[in-house]
Amino acid sequence: MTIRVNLDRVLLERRMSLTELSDRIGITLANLSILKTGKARAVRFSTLSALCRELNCQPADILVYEPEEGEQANGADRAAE
Amino acid sequence: MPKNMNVEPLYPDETTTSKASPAIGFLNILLVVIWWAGWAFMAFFTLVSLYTVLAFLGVEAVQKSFEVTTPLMALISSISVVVVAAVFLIIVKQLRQICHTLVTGDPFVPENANRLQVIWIAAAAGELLRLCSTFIISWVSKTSEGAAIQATDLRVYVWFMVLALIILAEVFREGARMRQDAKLTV
Repeated sequence: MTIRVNLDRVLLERRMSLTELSDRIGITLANLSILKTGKARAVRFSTLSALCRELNCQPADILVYEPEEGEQANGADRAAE
Repeated sequence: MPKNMNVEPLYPDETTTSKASPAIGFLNILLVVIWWAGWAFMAFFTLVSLYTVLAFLGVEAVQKSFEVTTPLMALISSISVVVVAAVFLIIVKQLRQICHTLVTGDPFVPENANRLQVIWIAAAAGELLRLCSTFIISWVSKTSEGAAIQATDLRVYVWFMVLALIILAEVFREGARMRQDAKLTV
């Protein structure tokens, strides 16, 4: 997976626990843990919206795209063309 | 905007237990009955096989009871029935396990796709064994009595069912994959 979830970093900056966030946005702790540990395969817009609202951040603060080595080389080739 | 958004939970609430419908309950009971009937059937024909083995080995007291058929033909028949009963039990076992996942509330698991695969392999193997035994019996009866070899009856509907099971197994596999995706959607 090339999308990294920075939820733990954002939570640390906001000094908020996962349990508190879970209570605030109404998502179970198990689901949030799946998201935090990067095991999630997809994120609903509604979930992302709730996270951004409660953490007062942008989606890009939570989700970061990290290209894999092969992808990076392909991207660089295309840019060179 | 309400503070607590109504985000659909990923997993069903742990406190809610899935209630099996009466039809599933009935199927479960039916499968248990079929399971034990299958074992009884298999035990009976295993005894018959042992009896025919004794006749085949030349035990005179047993040989007297074989007037209509030869001990060899009876042995082949009874062994093939035992094998078919074993195949039947394998299928029923898989069905029971599938039914169990249905009762627990999550039938779309990869294991069920594998179970359906086992069922179609068992059905195909059982049918092949039946064809082989029919052919051998025909051949033995020809050599012993001079009768013409009986035409092998190819049961098209069995192979059609095998094909249907192969498709169902693959559909289940894809369904299980999609279910897993849905489970991991937050």
